[in-house]
Order: sequence, then C-alpha cells, then structure tokens
Amino acid sequence: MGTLDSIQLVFQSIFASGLVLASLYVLMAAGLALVWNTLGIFNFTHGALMAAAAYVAWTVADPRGLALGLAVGVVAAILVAALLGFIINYLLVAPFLGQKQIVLIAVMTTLSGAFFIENSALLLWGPRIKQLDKFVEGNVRIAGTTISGHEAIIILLAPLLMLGLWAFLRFTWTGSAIRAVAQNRDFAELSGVRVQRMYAIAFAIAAALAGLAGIMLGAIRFITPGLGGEPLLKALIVVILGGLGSMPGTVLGAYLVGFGEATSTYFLGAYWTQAVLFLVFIGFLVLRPNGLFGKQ
Amino acid sequence: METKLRTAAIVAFFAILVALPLVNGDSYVRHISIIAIMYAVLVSSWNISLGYGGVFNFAHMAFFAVGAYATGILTKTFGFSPWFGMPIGIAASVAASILVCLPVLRLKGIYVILVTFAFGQLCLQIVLNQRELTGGNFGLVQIPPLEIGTFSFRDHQNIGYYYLALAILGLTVAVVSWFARSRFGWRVVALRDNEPYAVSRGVPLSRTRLLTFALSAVFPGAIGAVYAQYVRSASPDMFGFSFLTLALSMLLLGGTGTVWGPIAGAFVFTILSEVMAPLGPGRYLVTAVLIVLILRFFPKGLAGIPQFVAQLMRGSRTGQLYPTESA
Amino acid sequence: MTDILAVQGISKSFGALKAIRNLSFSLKSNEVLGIAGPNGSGKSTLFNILTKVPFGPDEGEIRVAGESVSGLGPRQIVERGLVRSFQTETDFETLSVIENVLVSMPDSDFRSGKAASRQRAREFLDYVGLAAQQDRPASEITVYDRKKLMIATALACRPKVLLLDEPAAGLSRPEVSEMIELIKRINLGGISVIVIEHIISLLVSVSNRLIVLNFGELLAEGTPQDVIRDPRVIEAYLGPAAAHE
Ligand SMILES: Nc1ncnc2c1ncn2[C@@H]1O[C@H](COP(=O)(O)OP(=O)(O)O)[C@@H](O)[C@H]1O
Ligand SMILES: [Mg+2]
Repeated sequence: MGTLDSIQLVFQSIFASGLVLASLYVLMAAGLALVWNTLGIFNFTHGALMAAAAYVAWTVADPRGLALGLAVGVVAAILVAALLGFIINYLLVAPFLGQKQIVLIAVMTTLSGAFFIENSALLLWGPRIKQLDKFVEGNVRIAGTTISGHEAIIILLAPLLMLGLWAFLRFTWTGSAIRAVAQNRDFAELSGVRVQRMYAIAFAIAAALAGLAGIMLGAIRFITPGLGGEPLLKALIVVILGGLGSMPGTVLGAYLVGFGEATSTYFLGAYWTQAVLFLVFIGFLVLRPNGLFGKQ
Repeated sequence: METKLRTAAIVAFFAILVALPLVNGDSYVRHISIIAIMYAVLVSSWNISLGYGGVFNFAHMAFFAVGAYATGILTKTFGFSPWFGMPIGIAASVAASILVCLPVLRLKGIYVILVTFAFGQLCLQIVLNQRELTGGNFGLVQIPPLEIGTFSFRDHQNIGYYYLALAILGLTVAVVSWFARSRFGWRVVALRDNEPYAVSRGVPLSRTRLLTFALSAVFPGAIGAVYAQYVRSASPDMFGFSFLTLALSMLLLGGTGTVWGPIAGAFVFTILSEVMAPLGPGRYLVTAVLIVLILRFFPKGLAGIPQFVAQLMRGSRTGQLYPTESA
Repeated sequence: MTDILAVQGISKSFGALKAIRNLSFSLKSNEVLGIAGPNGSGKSTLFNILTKVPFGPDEGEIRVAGESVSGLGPRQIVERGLVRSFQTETDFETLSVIENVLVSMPDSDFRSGKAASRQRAREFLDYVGLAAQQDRPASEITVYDRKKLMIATALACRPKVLLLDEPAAGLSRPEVSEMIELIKRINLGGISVIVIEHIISLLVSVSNRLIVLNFGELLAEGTPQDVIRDPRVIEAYLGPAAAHE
C-alpha cells in the first residue's frame, strides 16, 4: 500500500511539472515551427523576441513604467513582437531568399539579429532584473498536486493557441495561402499568391507567438536580455524531435520533451537532465533526422 | 610579382608583431595584442573546416573551451605540470572534434549546424554539472601559470604569453598556407565544391572530413590551453552564443577560404571592438549590423578587397574566391 | 575476349517509379558500348548505380573484370577501374584546372614527388587539349572545356571502363567531331567505354555495339546500324506513328 501511494505521488508531481513544461514548450516552439514550415529557415531571433516582448509588457504594465495595467501590457507586447518579426523578415531574411545557401545564411543573419535585440534590451532596460506580475494569483490543484494559477493558464493556453493556429491555417484565406506557399512556392506564386507577403505575415505571426511565450515566461522567470536563450534551444529541440515540417509533430514533440524532462529531473536532477536532453537530441539528429513523425 | 608582394607582406606583418613589445611596453596594448593574436589563431583554424571545408561546424569555439577546461582541470586539480597544458589542450580538443565529426558525417546543411551547436551545449551542461571539477557557473579559477625557473610568463606585462601566442599564430599561418596548396587541401575543397563529383573521383569522404576536423581542432586546443594559463581561468561563457557570434563575424569580415582574410578579420575586429569599448553593449549592435551588411553586400569580406581592386584594374577577368597555385 | 564489365539483373526504384528493371548486359575488353534511349529511360540512373554515386542498385550484381563490386564503396569502385562522367558539366569550381586533375589522381601518382605529379596531371590535360588553361579557375573555362576537363579527371583515376554520360550534349558540330576523335583515342589507348548519347552520328561512329533503354528495360541490342533501324526503337523515340511510316 505504502509503496503504491508513494509511486502515485511521484507520478503526480512528475505529471504536473511535465504538463507545465510541455505547455511552455508548445508556446515557444509553435512560432519557430511556423517559420520553418513556411520559409524553410530557422529563426534564431525567436528567443530574443521573447525577451523583447517581456520587457515591453513590463514597461507598459508596471507601476515603475507606464502603469497601464497587465492587459494593455500584454496586447502592446504582442503587437510590438509582431512588428519586430515583420522588420526582421524584411531586413534579415527577405533580401537573402533565393540564395543557394539560404538556410545557412539565415542562421547567421538571425543570430546577429538576436545579438542586436538582446544588447538593445540591455541598453534600454539596463541590467536590473525585472519580473511581470502573474496573470492570476493563487493556486490550483490538478491531479493531486498544487500548481500556481499562472501555470494553469499556461496549460490551458497551449492547446487553445494551437487550435487557433490550426483553425487560422485551415479556414482563413491568408492561412490557406501560407500553407500553399509552404507546400509549393512556385505553384502558389503562379496561382496569384503574393509569396513575399505571406512570408512576412507568417513571420509576424510567429513573432507574436514568441512574444506571448515571452510574456508567460516573464511572470515565472526573471526578465533578462537572455530570457529567451534557453527556451530557443528547447524550441529547436522540440521542432526537430517532432519532425521538421509537421505542426502536430511539433505539439507531440513539446509534450514528449516536457514530460521526459520532468521525469528525468525527478530521477537524475536538473543538471544531468539538460545534458541527457542534448545527448538524446544529437542521437536523434543522427538516427532520425526527420524526427519522430516526419517523413523518412 | 604577386608572390613577392605577398611574401613581403607576410614578413612585414610578423616583423611588426615580433618588434611590438620592444617599442611598446604598455600593459593594455599588450593584453589587446595577445587577445587579437589568439582570435586570429581561432578564426583562421576555424576557416579550415568552415571556409575550405564548407562544413558548418559551430563547435569550433567549443573545442577552444574544451582545451581550456581540460588544461585547467588537469594542471590545477590533478597536478600535471603546466608544461603539459598545451599537449593536454590539443589532445582534448582533437578528441572532441572527432567525437562531433562522427554524427556530422551522416548529416547535411542545417542539421550540421544543429548537431555541432548541440555538442557545445552538451559540453556546457557537463561543465555546469561537474561543479567540483569545473567550478560550475563561476568558472574554473587559479589555473597554474607557465613558469621557467624564476621567470614567469606573466613578467614584463605577460611578454612570455605574447610570444607564445605569436609562435602559435606563426605555426597556424604556416599550416593553413601549406594546407591550401596540399593534396589534402584540394580534397577538402573538392568535397566542398561538389561532393558527389569528388567521391566519384576517389576522394575518401569520411577520412577527409575526420582529418579536416582533427586538423582544425589542434589550434583552438593549443590556444585554449595558453589562454587558460594566461588569464588563469576558464569560464562557461566560452561555450556561449556571444563568443561564437563574435568569432563568426571575424571570419565573415575577413572572408572565408583564404589564408589572410580571417587573420585580418580578427585583428581589425579586435581593434574595432576596443575603439568602440566606450559604447558598452552598443558595440555589439554595431557588430550585429556589420555581419548582416557584410553578408548582404560583401560576401567575400576583407579578402575580397584586393581581388576587387585587381578586377577593376585588369578589367574582364572574373573573380577567384579561393587561392590557387597561381596566386 | 573476356568481359571487363558484367551486369546481371540490376534494378532500382524511386518509390513507385521503377527506373531500372532487371537489366543485364556486358562489356568486352576494349569495346565501346553505346547506350541510347528517350529522356527519363534510366540511362543516367544506370551510371549512378554502377558507380554507387550517389546510390547502388536495389538488387542485381555488377562485376568488374570478374570481381563483384557489391560490397564495395564508391571509392573502391573507382579503384577497381569503373569511372564515370556526369551529364551536366561538373567541376571543382574554386580549384584551378590542373588542381581538378591533381585531386582526382590516385595515391601512387604522388609517391615520386610534387613535380612528377604535376607533370603527370599536365599530361592528362594535354591529352584532352587543356594544357594552356591549366592555371585558370575551373569556373572560368567554357562549357566545352569543362566537359573535356571532366573526362581528364576521369582518366586521371586510371579507368578500365570509362562511363560517359552525354559527353557531346550541347556542343557545336566541330566540337562533336572532336569529341568523337577523343573517345576513339581513349579507346585505342586500351580503355573500354560506355557512352550515353542522343547524337546518333556520335553513337554510330564510336560504338561497336549499341543498346537502347526504354522505361528502364533493355529494348534493343545489336550493331549501331541495325539498332537505329529497329522499328521498336523508332517507336520508343518518336511515338507509334513514326514507326509505321
Ligand atoms: N534521385 C532520384 N529520385 C527520384 N527519381 C529519380 C532520381 N533520379 C532519377 N529519377 C527518375 O528516374 C527516371 C530515370 O531518370 P534518368 O536516369 O535521369 O533518365 P535519363 O538519363 O535516361 O534521361 C526519371 O523518371 C527520373 O525522374
Ligand atoms: Mg540522363
């Protein structure tokens, strides 16, 4: 009886922390996957966009800033992130599209972009650590363990957001156009879709998604210019594991990494877990570069 | 004519560097020179795998860090003589390069970037993890310096480290110049230019790639060891994005696939960074903008300038990105 | 005469597409075998799987001078003497012309020093008429010269069997004649040749024997004169109407 109880307890705590992590990873990876699917590049500014959005939300919302309240802060931050995404695409990606080495060039230009955004944040907001208010106070009990209300929101937000993204891509004209461009650029162009514009829109949406992830993170971690560094790596891992080019794969990848990480953290501790994660990632790249669910 | 000019430029370059400490004893200038020389070694050896090999190896700076940590740990904690530092650094770095090359052999394009970058992150996690050995987040400190009898390499504003680093740079230039004109170098470039064609002409793919990685890793290993002994510490930042981006911008600024471009890039960039030091983080903004501008408008970097000028003077002859026997 | 190359029952599929179906043929020592066939009939794919660049056959056996190459990698196949050219002009664009040849030469050519190996490389360039271009970057020379350079690099590998994939495509009339002479000269030097070509005049003047592929299968085989008059061949090339005219 006793051992069964403690096994159940272990399971519950792993489940709760895994679910929170997984939901965060969904938020972080969605935008990265959208850009990869549509433009065929990895956007390394994704993490920096998270940090930028968190800073903007803080400035607009916090009493030491504009003191306009959290809701205004969130909206403002998402809009700014989308705008930044648009600019990034215009300056760092669009001019290089069509070059033979675009995938590799984009890595370098977006890495530079991330460098730029992070250091701008440092200049604008200084090194003092900041934190956003939680969306809701108080705690929630799920599956026998207690998590914060904010974490509960993250858990709910992740599937809702993916559903929204799916519906957008599926049922709106713009969404269909983006999918068409992703599937066959030349054909889409012949059918009158303005490819460059779809790229810009997809990039802006992805940046907005990064912004949202940054805001959610900004309330549970400290806001620093490097806020998005680790999440970017996690998002990369998730997107690769899920299989490049597959949205459902990305979601599955996020839950897999989240629960895997929670389990491993419980048994091996946080430090080893990170090492194991990268090891598994490398193994994966070698054995199944197209991911768990990608086409071979 | 061109060859003579070239030789003259090389001799002048090293003559200036050898003579510099004799005319200038300022410790700040000395430090910056040492750092510039070390960057030059790192970047021009990275050029072997990334420039000539065309393999997007993002683990090169991790090799440097591995060399520094291995030297630090073995000389500080396990009591090896600091004189074993460099062999240790080289061995560790080369071992790491072979380890990371194995998965690279099976991958292409973006996956190479991801797997090499992930390798650096894996090393970083292990360093953070093994706090007793590595000092974790705070870095490894009090690494034993190099000494000969009563002479410490730190004496006279680190003059020992200066000349040691310069000697390694000389060796790097010699090896890269040899490499660019050797049969091995042709094979490396052939694989970059057209892999199936190279294989169809009997170029051994795996062996060449492994040797490319191992050769390019010798130098970050050596410099990692000397750097650790010079600043007497190794820090987890050496695995970071910023450091990688900085080195990458030197390589791009200088121009990949040429012997002198990356060295010029390292020196120009280090000096530029120092000039911009009052800007604080602002200098990184300049760095970032610079990388993008180079990629956009001068994909050949500084190394493209002489050729650009020559082209203007000679008229029609189209450019040649990489040096050949005739150059 | 012995078979220098024997191909038995090879097949290759790309998904549902069967590019090569159960193909068998052989090549005698010092023979020149022409291969014709409509576009997409699997000719280039045949060269790919013979040399394993970039992939081998799904099934079947290939023997070079009596020895099976099934277990060998592409590099060892080159060492056994099976060397190909590519349909599109291919080069190492950032290497000079002579370095293109040098990089293709086997280890044994480098044992007697640098000067000797360069001398050897120059002989190969001379053989195809490119000696004057030796120090130019390969990216700067003309299409015709690039095709010849590709043959020079193949010769540098010391082939027993040289596989030429459309060596004369896109060439002017005088250039085609030169190419014909070059192939004959290579063959006279003791190298067996398989040449894929659409230009019938070239096939007729160089080949001892001609085979025609259609949808990855052997459609016809025989002397060039017989094969090009075969109604099935005319039909495959020009459609059924032409065959009955
Ligand atoms: N790597 C490949 N993947 C998929 N299909 C291929 C590949 N290579 C060739 N094919 C297909 O195989 C068939 C034969 O092609 P190929 O050998 O190039 O024809 P040929 O050289 O006779 O014109 C074509 O239908 C072509 O589309
Ligand atoms: Mg063909």
